[in-house]
Amino acid sequence: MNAGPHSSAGATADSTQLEKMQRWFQAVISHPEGVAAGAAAAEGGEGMIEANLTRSNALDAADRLSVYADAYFARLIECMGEVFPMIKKFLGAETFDAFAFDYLQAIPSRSYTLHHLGQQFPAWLENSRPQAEEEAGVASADEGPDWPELLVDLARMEWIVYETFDGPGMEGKTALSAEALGRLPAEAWDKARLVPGPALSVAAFRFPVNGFYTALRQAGKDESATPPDAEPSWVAFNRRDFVVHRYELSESAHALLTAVIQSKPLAEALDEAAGAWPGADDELGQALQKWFQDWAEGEFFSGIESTDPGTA
Amino acid sequence: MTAPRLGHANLGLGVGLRTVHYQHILSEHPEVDWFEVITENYMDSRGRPRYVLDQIAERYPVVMHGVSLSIGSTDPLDFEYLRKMKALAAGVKPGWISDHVCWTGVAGINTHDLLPLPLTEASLRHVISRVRAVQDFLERPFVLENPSSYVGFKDSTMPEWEFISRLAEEADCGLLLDVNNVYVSSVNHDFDPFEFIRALPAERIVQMHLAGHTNMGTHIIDTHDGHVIDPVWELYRLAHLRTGGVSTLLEWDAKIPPFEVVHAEVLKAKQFMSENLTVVPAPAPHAEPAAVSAVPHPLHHSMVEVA
Repeated sequence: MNAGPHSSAGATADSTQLEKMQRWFQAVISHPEGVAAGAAAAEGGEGMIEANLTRSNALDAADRLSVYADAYFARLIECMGEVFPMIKKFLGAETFDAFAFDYLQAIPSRSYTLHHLGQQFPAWLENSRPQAEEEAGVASADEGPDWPELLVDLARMEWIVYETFDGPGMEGKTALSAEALGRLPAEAWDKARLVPGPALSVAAFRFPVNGFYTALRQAGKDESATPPDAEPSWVAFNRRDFVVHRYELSESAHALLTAVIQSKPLAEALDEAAGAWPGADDELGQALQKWFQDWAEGEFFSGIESTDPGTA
Repeated sequence: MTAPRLGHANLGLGVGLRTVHYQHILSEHPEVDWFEVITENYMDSRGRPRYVLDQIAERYPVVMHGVSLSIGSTDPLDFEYLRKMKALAAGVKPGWISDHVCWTGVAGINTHDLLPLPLTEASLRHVISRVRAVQDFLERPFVLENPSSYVGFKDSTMPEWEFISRLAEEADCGLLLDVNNVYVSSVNHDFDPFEFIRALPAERIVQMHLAGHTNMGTHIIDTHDGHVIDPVWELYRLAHLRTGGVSTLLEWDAKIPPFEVVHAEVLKAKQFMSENLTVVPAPAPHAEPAAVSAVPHPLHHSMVEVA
């Protein structure tokens, strides 16, 4: 790579100076209290704005720099609202933006794409919620002691939906039908393995968050929905024809699908379902029939494979 | 002698592909000349965005336009990002690939904004060396756009038109001339936008961008949220005369109207392709009503479909 007629020592010095400028510029425009506070906190102090930057006929250097600073959080907060629209609806725009503002300060984007921006939001909410609540002033006695966990559950659900939407899927491929599954003889279950479709995932929540998510979606533009009481819930996510679908599960069905996703043999997966089944064995048999019918219609599986290396 | 447009075809009048128009384009197959897509929105996509892009690329010429190359950053080039860009290009077969003369972040952070460089010999050398590295990796000429900017550096030693002209010549790359950005920056930095366009190496201009902006009274923000204003069309007329005509694309990224409105806006360019150039001075920024607040155009981002 030829950088032109320039000594390597000189090039290094130039590069260091440019890097120093860029680090200063970035620190100032991304300071949460604006460019004056950003410059004051950076090397050289507030005077560096006028020292480094030009004024125009209409604006001084700080006002010009503020165009970038004003845009930095505004743009990313707007993006967070598009990734987590139901949390925004639940909290209201002002409170949601306060959460997003805190999150973006703690975890600035390090990706070339905005699609990764919200990736750590659920974990950040989980880990920092006491401080976040206090700063945003959103916790109150009316909201109950479990309210932050509901928020984390909702964030997890929205992120799974977001990832499922643009991740790999079964479109253009043939899914395993209920009939094909029904033809599998019971004696083959020990060594047979259901192959999950690439979009299939399951999650366990502390709240019945799937219904709450639906209620928020159905609420009017400026309305929210009544938060549910805490109660464990399980949901499967899959994509068909590029649209994300959600399926409420029982604990037993969740155990079964989790085992399938973990590539466990069908017999072992069924054992795990039975271990979580609260009723009689024959009732489980009926439930299994219905689950597999629904899951086949939902295109959950791409096929069956044998765990026996000697079997094709 | 450099071939006009680096040998690339004049694709005509195109529109930036945006999520809200997917359905219309797939069902109506509008008679638009070509589409420009935001590279980063499709590099990792294995869902509907990529499916839609593949459908569109089968029917229309497509060009890839990136926002995160960060060619001016002092961070190392991200070759994993470039590998994904190259893989997408192998699938989509774009006419060319472009990004901006800017940096988007440093120390591993991405601000997702197009940040300005000090216009110095050192910056120029830095960017030239990186453009060469990118072109070597992609095995094709790259095309770079002049961004809108809102602040200048006291260290700068040359005007922006000299910087990008020398960059194009010395790195042997193409230029994407955003005439709206020229206008926006001319107001923000008090320069003559016609001088900017007259100074560029016309044969290296591969593509032009048009867009709307927001006038704040004291400065202009590149919001991509409205119609192209007359002074920008006059700059386009000059650029068209100088280049002899190049692929022209309208960007509309916020308050996006129906596809027909966006398409009709770029078709207005035909009115400014006259060879009879009439140079009209750009109006002062207050000639437009001043807005209270605005954010530079949000970097486009796909929307989720959930049942």
